[in-house]
Amino acid sequence: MRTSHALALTTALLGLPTLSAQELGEPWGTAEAESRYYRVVEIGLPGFPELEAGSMCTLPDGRLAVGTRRGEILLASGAFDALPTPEVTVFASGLDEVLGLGFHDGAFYAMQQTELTRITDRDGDGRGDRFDNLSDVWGFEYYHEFGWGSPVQPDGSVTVVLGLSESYHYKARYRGWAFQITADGRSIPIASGIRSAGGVAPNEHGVMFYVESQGPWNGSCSLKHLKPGGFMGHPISFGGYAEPLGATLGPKPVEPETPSRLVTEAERVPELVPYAVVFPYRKMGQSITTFRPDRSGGKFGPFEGQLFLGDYSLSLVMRATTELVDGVWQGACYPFREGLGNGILCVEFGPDGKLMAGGTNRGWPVRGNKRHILERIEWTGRTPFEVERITVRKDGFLLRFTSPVDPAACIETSRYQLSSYTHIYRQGYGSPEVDQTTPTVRAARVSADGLEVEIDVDGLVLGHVHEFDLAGLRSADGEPLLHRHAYYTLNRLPR
Amino acid sequence: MVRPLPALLLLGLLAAACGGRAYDAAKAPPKVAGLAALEAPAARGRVLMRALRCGACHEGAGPVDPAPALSKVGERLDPDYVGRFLVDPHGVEPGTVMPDVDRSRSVADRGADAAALVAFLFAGSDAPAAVDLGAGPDVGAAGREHYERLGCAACHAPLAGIDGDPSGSAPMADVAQKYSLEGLRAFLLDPLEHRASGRMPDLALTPAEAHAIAVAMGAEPAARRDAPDPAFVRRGRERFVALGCAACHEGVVDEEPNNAGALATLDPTSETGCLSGAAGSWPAFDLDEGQVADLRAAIGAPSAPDEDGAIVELMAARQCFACHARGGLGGVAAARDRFFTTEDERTGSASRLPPPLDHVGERLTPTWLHKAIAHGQEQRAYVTTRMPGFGASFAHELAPLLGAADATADPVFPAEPATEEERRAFRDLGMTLVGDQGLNCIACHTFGGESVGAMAAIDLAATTGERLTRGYFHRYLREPTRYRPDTLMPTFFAGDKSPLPELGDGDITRQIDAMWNYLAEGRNTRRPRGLRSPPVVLEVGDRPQILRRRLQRTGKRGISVGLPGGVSFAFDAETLSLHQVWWGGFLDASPVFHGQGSGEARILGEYVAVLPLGPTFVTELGDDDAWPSATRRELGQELGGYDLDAAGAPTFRYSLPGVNVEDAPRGSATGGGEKVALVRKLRLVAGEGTPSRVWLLLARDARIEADGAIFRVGKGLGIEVTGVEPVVFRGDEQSELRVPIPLGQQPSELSITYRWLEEGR
Repeated sequence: MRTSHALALTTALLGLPTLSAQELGEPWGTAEAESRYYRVVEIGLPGFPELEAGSMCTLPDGRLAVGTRRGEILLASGAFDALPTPEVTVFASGLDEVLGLGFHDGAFYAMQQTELTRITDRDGDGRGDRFDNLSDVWGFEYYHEFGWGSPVQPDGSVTVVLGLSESYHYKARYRGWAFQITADGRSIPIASGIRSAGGVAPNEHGVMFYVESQGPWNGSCSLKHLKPGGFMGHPISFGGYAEPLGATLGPKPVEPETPSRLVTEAERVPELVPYAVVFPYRKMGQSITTFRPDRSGGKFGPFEGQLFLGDYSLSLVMRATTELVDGVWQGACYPFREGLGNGILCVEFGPDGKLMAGGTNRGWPVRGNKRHILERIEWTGRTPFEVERITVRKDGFLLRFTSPVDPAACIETSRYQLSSYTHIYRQGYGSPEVDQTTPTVRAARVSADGLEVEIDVDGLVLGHVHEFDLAGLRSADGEPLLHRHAYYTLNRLPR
Repeated sequence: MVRPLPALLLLGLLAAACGGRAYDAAKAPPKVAGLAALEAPAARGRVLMRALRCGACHEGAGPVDPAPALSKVGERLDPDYVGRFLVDPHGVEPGTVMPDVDRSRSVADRGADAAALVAFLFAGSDAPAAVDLGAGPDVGAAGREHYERLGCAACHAPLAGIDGDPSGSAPMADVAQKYSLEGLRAFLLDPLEHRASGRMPDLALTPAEAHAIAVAMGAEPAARRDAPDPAFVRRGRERFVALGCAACHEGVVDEEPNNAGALATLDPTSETGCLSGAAGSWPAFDLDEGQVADLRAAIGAPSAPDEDGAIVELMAARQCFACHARGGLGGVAAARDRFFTTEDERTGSASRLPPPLDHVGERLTPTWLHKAIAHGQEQRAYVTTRMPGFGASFAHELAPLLGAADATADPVFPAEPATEEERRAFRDLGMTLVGDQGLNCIACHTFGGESVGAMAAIDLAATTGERLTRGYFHRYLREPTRYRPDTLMPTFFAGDKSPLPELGDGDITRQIDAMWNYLAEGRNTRRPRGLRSPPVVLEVGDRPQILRRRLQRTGKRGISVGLPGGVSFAFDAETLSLHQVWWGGFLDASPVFHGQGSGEARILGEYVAVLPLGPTFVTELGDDDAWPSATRRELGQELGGYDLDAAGAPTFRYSLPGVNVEDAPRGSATGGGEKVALVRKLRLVAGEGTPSRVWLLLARDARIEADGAIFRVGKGLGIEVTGVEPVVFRGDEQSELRVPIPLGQQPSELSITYRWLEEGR
């Protein structure tokens, strides 16, 4: 620990400043109600008292592979069983914080901080014995240079995202960049401008996204589209354009001005990619992490095809949906399940639609007080009354619900409370919510099956988060929503 | 094997044999544990009314405990048992609070009703699929131990075979008959799902624990069943409605049960009805005289109990008093004391006994109190017995009452720090007081999961801010024994004087508040002085240990390898060089495994040789040239990776343009000297168009001297090269040991031995 890094040492894994427990956001207060629909089962891995999951993947044989901050790849059989009594073997150890783990063609692909490594077991004894360095083109020299890796894509490639040096600076090459690493070990730059990533994976449509943390040039945490050739918003990483590989991404973009608004700067900086889904700070996490789409075919409940992701600080899991509108990605996020015991770094679906969540709570403030466990979220079979998703319409939004609404109540426009705001796009740390407006709902139409409501809205604002408070809605059974809030980031309206 | 629903057969036979004779049902009064704590008959009566669910039929009879959920009985219970139970509930399960619903029925009707009800309740579900979690005496023994130590025996009688049956035990059916193994396990894992009342709370058992307890209780795997006759199922549904089962068991049928009349309109001394003891078409509870008197007292009582009375009744109804004392009532009974154990006896009786609940509403924040009652508690890892969860609805009743009853006026807290500077000073004051230059709280308490000494009293930083109220924290620190007479916690502020008058102006309120403020920051706040992260010593056993984390001197791409026999080395993957070799212990990983992990692993070896950082291979070099300063990346050198041999030792693969290198450092006990030597085998394979030789830099030091075949480097390192002759390059201040390696069509092989030659560092 060097004293010159004193400033950096007060910053967090995911780029948040050191916060006291009192500074953690308030709970939603819905954990007890949620537990009726989604139960949380604690799962310890016997023999691993220091389990700190940083990444996970489910193997074709149904085992769960866990990459840990302590550098192991653990293989657990039975973790998804109805009565989990897992048996664990060590496939590899001694790696450097495995924050990305994939399995492809008989090999593991581990994003450890120093490199992306392909690990194979040639003699079939259950331990990896060949470690191939697929890429180590990035600099790795300073504090807080965290890198995350995607699942292996069908073409055998892995996308890696590289957080800045000391969470603020460009002190080593390609910090703040994303690369696609091909199966034969070529490193292709994808984007610059990353600040402090919390995960990378394809979204529910198969398009590569990454998780960004609140901080400089990021008013709040967000999901962003890793648009090839794109600039993700933090200009300190522009040094990479002078490096041999970085030069192939194109010319260095124009520097954004500070303080400003992202929509304003996107006019000046064509490479600048807007946040697809903003997670308003504290209301929806404080350091969001790796996401996975639900492909369980309904085994995980009514949210098939949506993204699920955890939060490190607040020990909770949220949902998100994205859509491509006029060539730009955008979408919404929704509360899902709080009251987990750990700081969530990764989630992964099992073969039968149970969601495993893992993480750690050392080093930075975390609400959950348990460490060294996995937590499995499973659907109880009861369907909560929830906003299933929100999509944009020319004149407003389409709200889809998990069960039919009370049509008489839900055509009343006063039951839809909307507010909008954005964040300052600036070099300084984070941002309050600014430029608040109050869009109004002009009309609400309930579909014949009661599952959808189309609302016409006056006062939509491009570049703003549109926050919904739907406390007044009722299901056909007279129930209020399990979660009254949802947050739609509006970048474009459909043409 | 599939068997027919056995109850149907049995009960059909019973009905046929007995015809229309009246049935002489067994009589056993309901047993509601916990009543002994209550002195007033009306109070006992109210708890009884709740347990007997009087309010399910009688308006104005107060709250009721929800009856067990019947939607999943088919997955839990044995149909044979349920059939027998329905024929004769008080004979089959003495002490049950379920009434014998209609004693006017003939034995034939009882049999027919029971058979039809079983068919109805078990329709649509087969026995659960068997999940084998093991059996045998070990599992049973573990189950007994869990039963005794985790909390079952705090309320229930000890398992048969364990001596003694302390009085006041909560009743329990013959679970081995009642449940299948799978069913009992599922019930133990989530009792509130099946019995929402929370009278059987959730001990947060693991599947293995629940399984072992179920085995210890003698439960057997379920047999598969045939689907019942649909006509019988329909009949069962009709009887379920007609007998009024739905009054208590909700969610089974939609029909609203008949209301039996508001309590106020009934005569508790009537010669018919529930309290009469007579047989009739009303539910028979088989109450004993005392219970009837208590119920009559409750019915006649003028008003609801006051706050304290309501708390006592609620705590009695859930047997809280079996573990906790409050207001002079309850606490662990002598006969059950042995079931309360600890992992750590050093903190006295507090380390094993559940805390008294006097002042609990003052002590805990409302959120925490609710959470503890609803979902259980696990802040005291050393207490073996678990505080179980009683469910949210019970917590919603009890927690606010405790909060209101125990409310205490807070002292005037110091003003909030006005500036950032003041805020820091205030926090530093708290940190100093907690640390070893202050009150040294960390001498006994765990702090953020770490502890200094042998004692591991409750974690100060983990939950203080969320769990304890600020006002209580102030009062407790001033006078700990007022709250816990048996506590080992010292009274630091005796006589309203601070033992550390030089800190924070000696103002006690300010000092305590500073500690509160500091501890409320949570587990990841700055560590107080005196709390050191314990070392994480990586031991090397039979297999080599590898750690790819920042290593002292080598940096973030260091690959540390500890080999069996006591020699270790670090390969720097950034510069492709063997950078350090050491003898003795391997690594302390604490700086990279604790906190944020931003430190560097520490070498534990006593004898450390530091070799030059690379690039250590160059392809072009004149005899008089200084070693190039270009990076290995600029020279086109790449790390391929490494392979582990059968023993787990790595062979590194890297490349220079046109040349592939295999680099296999191994320990060798036969390398000479007392310590195991590091023998590094290098194999270079050249492609076409590559230079005729490459240079390898082995050492750079002010002192490099040839001593026979060995080159002495610095104080104690000896390097011997076989296969190629090294040369010593003499620079102005430092010399270098260089190896010119010829390349040809055949691979070039050489061996380099590193030894520690003499004592010294």
